[in-house]
Amino acid sequence: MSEKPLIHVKDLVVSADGQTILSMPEWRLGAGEAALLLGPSGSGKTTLLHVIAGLIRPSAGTVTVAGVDVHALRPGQADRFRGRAIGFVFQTIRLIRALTVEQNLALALNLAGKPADKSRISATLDRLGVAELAAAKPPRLSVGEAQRCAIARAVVAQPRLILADEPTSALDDGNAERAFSLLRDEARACGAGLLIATHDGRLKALLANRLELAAR
Amino acid sequence: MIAIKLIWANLAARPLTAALYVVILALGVAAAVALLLFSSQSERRLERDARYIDAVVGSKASSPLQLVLAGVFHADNPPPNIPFAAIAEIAADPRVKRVIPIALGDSVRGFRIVGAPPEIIALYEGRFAAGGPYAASFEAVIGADVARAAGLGVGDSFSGAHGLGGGHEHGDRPYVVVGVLAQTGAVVDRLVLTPVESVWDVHGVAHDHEQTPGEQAGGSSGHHHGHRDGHAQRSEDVEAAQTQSGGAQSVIFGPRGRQSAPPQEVTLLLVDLVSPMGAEGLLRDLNGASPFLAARPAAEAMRLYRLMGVGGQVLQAFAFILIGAAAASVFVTLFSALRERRGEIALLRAMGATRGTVFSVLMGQGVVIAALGAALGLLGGHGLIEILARSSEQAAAFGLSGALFHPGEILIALGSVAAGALAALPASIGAYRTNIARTLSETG
Repeated sequence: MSEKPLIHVKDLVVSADGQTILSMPEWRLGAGEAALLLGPSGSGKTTLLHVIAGLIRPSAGTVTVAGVDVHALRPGQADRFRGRAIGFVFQTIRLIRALTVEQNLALALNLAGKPADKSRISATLDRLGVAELAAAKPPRLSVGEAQRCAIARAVVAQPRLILADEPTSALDDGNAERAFSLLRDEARACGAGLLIATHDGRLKALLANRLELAAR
Repeated sequence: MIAIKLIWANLAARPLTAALYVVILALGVAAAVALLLFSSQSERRLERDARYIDAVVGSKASSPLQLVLAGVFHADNPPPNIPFAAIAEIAADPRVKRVIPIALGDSVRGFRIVGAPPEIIALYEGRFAAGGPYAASFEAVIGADVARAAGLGVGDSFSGAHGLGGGHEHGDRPYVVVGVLAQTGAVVDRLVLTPVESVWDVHGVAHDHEQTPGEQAGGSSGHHHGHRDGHAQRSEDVEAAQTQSGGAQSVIFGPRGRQSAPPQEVTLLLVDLVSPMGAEGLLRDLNGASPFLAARPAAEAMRLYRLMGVGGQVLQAFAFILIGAAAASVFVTLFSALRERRGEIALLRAMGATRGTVFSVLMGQGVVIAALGAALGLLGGHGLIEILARSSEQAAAFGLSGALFHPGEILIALGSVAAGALAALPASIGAYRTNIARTLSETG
């Protein structure tokens, strides 16, 4: 691995209320690689995603994303870096309800410091098969539609890294498999790394690169 | 830019709720602004109109407030008449500098016709925009508002109507406009001035007719014409009145070369004093033994203003309660929605929004609602005053206008926006402090 890794976690310790909730000597994810983050509930999967995104400050160690030490940034800088470099997909929080699908994607572009390019938005929605939902408000969408739109929102600004937290747990088998394929294809299409935190057994067969966290 | 889009989207997502708060706030602001405009404009007008005249003397059967309302502000029915001899009696007092008798009763297009010697024009500091003072009966000088509203100019003629609007027209005796006064901002703008003789003549008062002392001159009283006409009337006493007015004092009144017999009655007297210090004593003397009632416009205006002030305070409290209710509604809505919106706030932050952005999105909603409400309220307040000024004769006498701006309105508007901001502050702080990681792991 001569190239610089996309994610580099080193000597990481995360504590809360004086107790260590996550420790990780070293872990890397190469640029454009995809990995599953596995482990039982409470093993720290979500915590690791948040540490990588700069939302939780570790008590020791460093995390670099695309060469940037995310915890050395000032709060505003960290927010802007997150908006530019990272796309998030969650289990249930998918879109801003007051905005249409199209406006959600435009917001993602703006928060990444990019213009709300209409053709880019419609191309992204088109790729995910939800072009006809552009003008729809999120409460009107089905669960599967909403998750596709959420993936579109996460990838439209072409982030370096896509972090997905249980993206398929709320979906049925068919939708879960489709959502996974979409995430992997979209990550590939924009050259982004992909890290999926999940306890969803259905995904284990689909991706070989795994990081297992132990129960504590 | 991002914050502005989100503020707008959040308000537009619940347009009825937002509109309701805007309307409640606008009602409060409109009421507060209308009150401010009404009190400041009417106070200024009352003070201004009261300033010209030291005292008003009229019938004992009247009240001080009625004398002042009818004689100074021209906003009430005229009191009962007093005999013409009263002029000489009042003018004889060494404290009195000048006496101007006026005869009331008729109107044209709702504007009062005031029978008075031409000196009343100088009393009101009137300047001629066109023409000049009247010299003969049935000549008239009209105020600026009258000229505009009735479309009258020098050389035009018009007929008076009995009472203050709604009475029958005296079509056979037209007045001719000989002068138009420039706008003064005072009551004279709304008056039609004419010699006292016109008022008598128009009602066919016989020059040698039988005396009917103490009869009502009010426009609301019955209008039996001819011998028992209720208007100011002629008598033989004018010569006596003029001969008695010697020394330093002068009585401004004269038959102006007319052949007719002198008048007997006038409605009331406007009195100028040598020194304002003498007012209290003169009032005491007149209100004691004499058959007359005297009142000081300044004192009555203040009393009237205090009376209105009580009602005004109640309305003002109501206005501020409305503004407070709107702010409280904004607070409750934003704050109670905060819990269910924590997920969205976390998503926004995960998408790269700063704490400052989510703070200003929530603050902005309160401020935008308040600013819209304040703007609508300012318009509404001015509109309310303009409607009032146009619809009511009494309100017009207070010199109301929706086009005038009062600096206090800025305070009301800023106060409302501050109330909106304050109402949004707790929710905004809540959004600012939201622990993103915890919210995402709990609900994500």
